[in-house]
Amino acid sequence: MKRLLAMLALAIGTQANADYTLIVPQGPGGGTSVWASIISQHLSKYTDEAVVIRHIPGARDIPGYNEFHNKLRFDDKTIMVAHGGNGVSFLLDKVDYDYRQYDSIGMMNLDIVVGKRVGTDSKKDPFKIAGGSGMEPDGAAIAMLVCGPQPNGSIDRYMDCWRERVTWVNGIKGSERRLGFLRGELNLTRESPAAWFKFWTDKTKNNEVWFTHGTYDLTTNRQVPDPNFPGTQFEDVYKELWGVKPSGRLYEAYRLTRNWRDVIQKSLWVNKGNPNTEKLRAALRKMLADPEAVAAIEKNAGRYTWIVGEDGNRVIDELSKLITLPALKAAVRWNQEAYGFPSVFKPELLK
Amino acid sequence: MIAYLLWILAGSLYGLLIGVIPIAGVTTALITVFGFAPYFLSDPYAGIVFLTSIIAACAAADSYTSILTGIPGASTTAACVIDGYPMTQQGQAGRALGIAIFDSTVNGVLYGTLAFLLLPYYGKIILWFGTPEFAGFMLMSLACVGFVASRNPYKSIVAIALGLFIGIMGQDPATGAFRYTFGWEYLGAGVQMIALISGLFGIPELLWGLRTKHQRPPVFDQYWQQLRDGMRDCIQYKKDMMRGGFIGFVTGLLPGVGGAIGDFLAYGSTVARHPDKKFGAGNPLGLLGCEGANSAQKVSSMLPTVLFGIPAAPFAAIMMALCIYFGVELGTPTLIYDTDFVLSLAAGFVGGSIVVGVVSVVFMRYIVKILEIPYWIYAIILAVIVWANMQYTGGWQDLMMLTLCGLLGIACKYYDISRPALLVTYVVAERLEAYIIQTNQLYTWDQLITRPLFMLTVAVAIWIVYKSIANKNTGLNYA
Repeated sequence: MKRLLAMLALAIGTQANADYTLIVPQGPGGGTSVWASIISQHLSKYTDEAVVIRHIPGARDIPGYNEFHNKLRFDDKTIMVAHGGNGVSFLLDKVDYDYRQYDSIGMMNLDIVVGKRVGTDSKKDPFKIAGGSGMEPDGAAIAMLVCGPQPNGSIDRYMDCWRERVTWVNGIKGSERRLGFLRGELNLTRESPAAWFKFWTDKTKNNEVWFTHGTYDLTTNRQVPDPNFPGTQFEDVYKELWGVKPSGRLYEAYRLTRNWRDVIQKSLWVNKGNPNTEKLRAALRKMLADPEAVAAIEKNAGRYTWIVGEDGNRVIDELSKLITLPALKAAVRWNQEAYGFPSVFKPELLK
Repeated sequence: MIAYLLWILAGSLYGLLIGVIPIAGVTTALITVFGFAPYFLSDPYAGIVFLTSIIAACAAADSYTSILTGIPGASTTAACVIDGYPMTQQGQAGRALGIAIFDSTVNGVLYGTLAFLLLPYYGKIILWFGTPEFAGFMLMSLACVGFVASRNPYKSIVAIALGLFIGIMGQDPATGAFRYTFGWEYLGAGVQMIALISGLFGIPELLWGLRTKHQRPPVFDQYWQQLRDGMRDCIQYKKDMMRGGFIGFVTGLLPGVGGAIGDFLAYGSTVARHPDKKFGAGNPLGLLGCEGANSAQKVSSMLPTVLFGIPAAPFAAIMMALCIYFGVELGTPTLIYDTDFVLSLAAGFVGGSIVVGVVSVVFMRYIVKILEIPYWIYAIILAVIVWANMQYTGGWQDLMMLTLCGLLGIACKYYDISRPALLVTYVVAERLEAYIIQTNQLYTWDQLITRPLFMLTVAVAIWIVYKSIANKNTGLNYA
């Protein structure tokens, strides 16, 4: 009981003296919210002030990030928590925020697993998957795997094949897609690595990893095979299936959206010039040297590397190089026509 | 063992306390647990017991608020307002509370036990229900609007149209595009249910309470007698009570379907079962029919959360996050083989239902003093409603939305436009649209007509529409 009272006192005290605030762009209970809870709990041990969470939910997790950009970032104690979907929205939606105006505290480079029913033939069978925002690169990869190389990588040809072979079912909320896959309405699913290990390693469920997107290698600035899922990186699976490397406009669009989603899939940002930046980076490094903190993070998100400090800013520079006119136009068009998403072309990104 | 019993007691009392606050239901109660969640790291089962007893207690306490103030304690008790609040206005608050206590406790214990016995089989059962069946359940719910609409057909159409319009505001489920947001980014996520319920029911009832203070509900003095009458009602109409619980239980099992529709479906079924009786003006049967659905739905909606990691209601998402804090990952298939975990879930919910039942019987006479409080206290209730609404983003936009919904609620009450009908339509609209789109994408008509459960749900929906038209007593006086 004494311990509980101490916890309560700490909780109340934490709220009262909260100095660092993590802005989470979704309500409590979401994947990024849980990740942020774990980070705040452990980061607090290494900062001189407490770290608390403020949730600002809204459609596609955009309003919270916009509020950070327009107002909250000017507070030196405010840290933005962003996820992969925010990266894709930065490219393809009308948003106010811009990663290039912030300093990276740290980012956790994650992967996404796309699984299929055992026995489905990539070259012949029709595929059904629950779509949604943040899943753009998954859909593009599926199109390339299912349809194979197209003359000049023509988006039109991919579109025809996509319409014939793939049913992209919008509006299935969150984890309900898992149930749709389980009962056979869908024959494809996608999961975070931790969720894949949790739900789909039981082979009796008749599922297998089809492909993953890989992880980011800071030294080469390229996606490399994910050690947690050897031999499943999209490029390798494609080459094995079709005998050539993927290329063309759709592939450029895929690389653009994949990297902006996965490389910064869970990340912490402050405004450029924030005087606490180095202090926070140092605290994060200490946290990542704490086995207890690392174990808690890995249990939640899987065993993936972190990029801490100035390297995070370099990553954004590298990701920005992928924003070319053809890649951006292809991504916008593919999103609009294949998924029906209201994506917009933003020429200002090319600057 | 004693420690777990104490956690049940603590969770029940805490849930009761938060549950009786208007609008602040189980979601609010669970969010506040984050502050001391790490305490349970050393004994996660104690945490599970604590959480589930909070959920059980809130399920019961939410109804008390609905009955006494006319303001739903939570979205899942909005149907209780329809006949429960008029009973209070007629000096029968004790009887209504007797129904609520007995109904909640019986259904909480019964379906709490059933849910956990069902746990090992749920994985197979849920596979019987596909997207078309979910769409069918939503159709049935929408058909129930006929039972909670007003007698005036034009006003009913206005209520349904408003509910549909508000329900589809936000993101188009087919494309993700924003619609009817009028350029307001906040509306991109749609109108939040807490704001709509607060505005539709909370604000108007508080204002009407102030305006008509000379017509306050009579204070009853025969507390025990009324409580007994309420319990006797439950025994006399036990079939209606059990049917309500069963409907709530089934809707809770279906991820994405449960929530606020279970009690309206149960209410509609009671009205359809008694075509000779009038509802909406303080009929104990109306309250009895929907009350148990709330408790049963709360417990069954935990099953998809526990087994598949699919939160069937907002509170379940919070529960999942809290459990991760305790070191228990809901959705892990092997969890059901952890006997201590399953027992903790069951003990927390069943124990919480019993504790709240006993505590309510003993202390309800003090809780009903809410009817005698000075009018200035209404300002505190208003403050609590504002606070509950600001748990969403914490910004001025929450207040703006509450104000707009409040104006809508006042207009509906003033012009006798059925607020329950508007609410049901709002709840069903977005999900029904999404399920229809998905069914259309995944199935052909040839496939649909071979699915017996889908055909059954559609047939029941048509029957409900027929009954609501044919029933000469259909239509509420309640607006």
